Amino acid sequence: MKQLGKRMRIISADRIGGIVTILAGGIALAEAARLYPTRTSMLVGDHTMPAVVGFLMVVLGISLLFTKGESFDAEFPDRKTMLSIIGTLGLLFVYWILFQFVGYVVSTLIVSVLLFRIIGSYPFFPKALLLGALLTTFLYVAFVYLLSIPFPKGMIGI
Amino acid sequence: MEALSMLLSGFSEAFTPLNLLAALIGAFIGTLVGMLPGLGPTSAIAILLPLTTVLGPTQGIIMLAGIYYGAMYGGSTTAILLNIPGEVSSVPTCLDGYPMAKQGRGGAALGIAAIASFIAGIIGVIGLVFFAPLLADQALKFGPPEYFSLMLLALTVVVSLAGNSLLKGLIMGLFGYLLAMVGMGPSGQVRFDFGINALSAGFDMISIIIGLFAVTEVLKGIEEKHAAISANNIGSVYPKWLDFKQSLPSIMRGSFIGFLLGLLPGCSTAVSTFLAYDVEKKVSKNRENFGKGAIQGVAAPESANNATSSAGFIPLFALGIPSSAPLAILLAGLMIYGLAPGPVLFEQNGSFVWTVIASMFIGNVMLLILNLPLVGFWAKLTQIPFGVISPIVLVLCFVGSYTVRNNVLDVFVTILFGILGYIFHKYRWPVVPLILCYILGPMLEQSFVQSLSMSGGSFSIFVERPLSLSILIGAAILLVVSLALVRRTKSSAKQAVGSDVDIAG
Repeated sequence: MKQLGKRMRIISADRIGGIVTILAGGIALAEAARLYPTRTSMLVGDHTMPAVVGFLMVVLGISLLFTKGESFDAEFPDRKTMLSIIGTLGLLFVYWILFQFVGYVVSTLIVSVLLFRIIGSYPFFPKALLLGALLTTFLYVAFVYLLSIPFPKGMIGI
Repeated sequence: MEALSMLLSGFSEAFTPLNLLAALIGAFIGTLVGMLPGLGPTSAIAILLPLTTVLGPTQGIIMLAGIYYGAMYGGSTTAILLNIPGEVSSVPTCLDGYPMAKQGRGGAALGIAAIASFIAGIIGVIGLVFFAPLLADQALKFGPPEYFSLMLLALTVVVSLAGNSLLKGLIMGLFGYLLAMVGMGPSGQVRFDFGINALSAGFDMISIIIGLFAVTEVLKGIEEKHAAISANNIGSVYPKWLDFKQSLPSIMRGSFIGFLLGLLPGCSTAVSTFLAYDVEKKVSKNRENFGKGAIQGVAAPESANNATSSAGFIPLFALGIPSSAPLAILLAGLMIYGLAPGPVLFEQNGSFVWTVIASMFIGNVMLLILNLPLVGFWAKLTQIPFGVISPIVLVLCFVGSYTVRNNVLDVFVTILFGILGYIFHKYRWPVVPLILCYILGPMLEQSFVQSLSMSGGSFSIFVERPLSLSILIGAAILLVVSLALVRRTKSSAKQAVGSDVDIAG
């Protein structure tokens, strides 16, 4: 993690931001060029603002490349905390996939138990399981029973 | 007089059981979420916004306004009891509130904060009753060129929301507008879909907001390892008569400063709370007590905070300009209901606006009733471990972003923007300009295209019409004032916390 921090200091984060801004500006300009034939007049049409935004992004991106910005070190947490952040994000993606395939109730129960385990460091049994079950039940009552929100039921059908 | 009769009819609408319940639940939930470790008003509204969409527009906005006020108060509770400001605007409250809590006078500090917030909130809403319709009346004369100039004026807000780097703020604003352009353009062409069908409907604004504010906040919280901190013995929550007597002039001064600054589009609550604290310190006979537990040091910033929050509704309702991050999200809330804040809001949805304004009076009363007797309960809540709160918040974010359009792509967008928000936070890229331009960009484009169609492609239309020209001059003046205020607040905040802080709150 220290090495990563060092590298971050060497390759200025602002410069990477500047390059990304120029690229995004380039995409906007390309889209403006694509839309140009559909214009009402030279300045009126769906191409105008993509062109303006694209141009400004390229100009500001270049400025960011050459401006001496704030000097600060982006401090990342220690390895253990970083792993729990990555684990949390990974779980959210897993939730997104499970949600569509096994349905709302089962995916919410599995993911909430794991989130209590990862973020709260609670033992699986009984605390994480109990908290996960409570949260799933509460949300089921609020969203499905009271608000009648149509959630995916998945392969299991609940 | 017309405003008063409209307000009275607003009261008769607001006093329905459902509306009262919406205000009560909003104030309660707002306070609850606002005081949870690491969650400020912005993330509170972001998390709860999708949940209010199941209500009608009036109840939904009443609840959101209650959440906003409640979360503001909740933020001051953690500032006073735990020295954790939910937003930068609560930093001045910490300076004297926390020393008071350490002296066993936390209850008095919380009590004065509640009373100051109440008085300032009421003053702010009274101002809203008289100023907003006047402003909206003038704004009814607006055509597309005036709207375009108004949008430019609104965009000067980016200066005060940009935090420490204006360049980064501007880039983030453009990035936000770029995201808003995905989908159907004003002339009916689909833009930036790259042949992907799912992108032709554009991104859902709420998903982006939840990702950038709520999910990111949890990730930041995991890093900061919020632990349950026991609040000290807080003493009586009812301030003594002497405390109140000492605080009243500070409350009035703070309310006045907060209200005046809140009228300026682009003036965040951080600017007014620091200014109110500074002024209070300067006029006080006991300057040496400031920073050691002076009750005036709590009363002034708290009243300024609430007065600015209330006055912020004036440019929001009358012109469609949000002056702070929570108000930008509230603007998104209004738009979900198909309401366009701005000059025509009072004309087309007068009954709605006056009911909401009347509910703000009721909401402020409810907050006072809730907060004074429940201070002990709120203090206990600050001890809930972050490990319990954050999974609940994350699951709510996931479910909330799904419920807006019942679309799984929106959930993916929320997660993606949660990650982006964390990276933006690490590298100090301000996210509020992104949201602001996401909201205002399409309105700017619409008025720009209409204006140029009217003038046959000539830009002179923007300066030939006196009203449009006046707004453009106003925008230039506001830009200069905002730059000066931001510079001042930056140095005050640096003095207060000892290092550079992001003042975008």
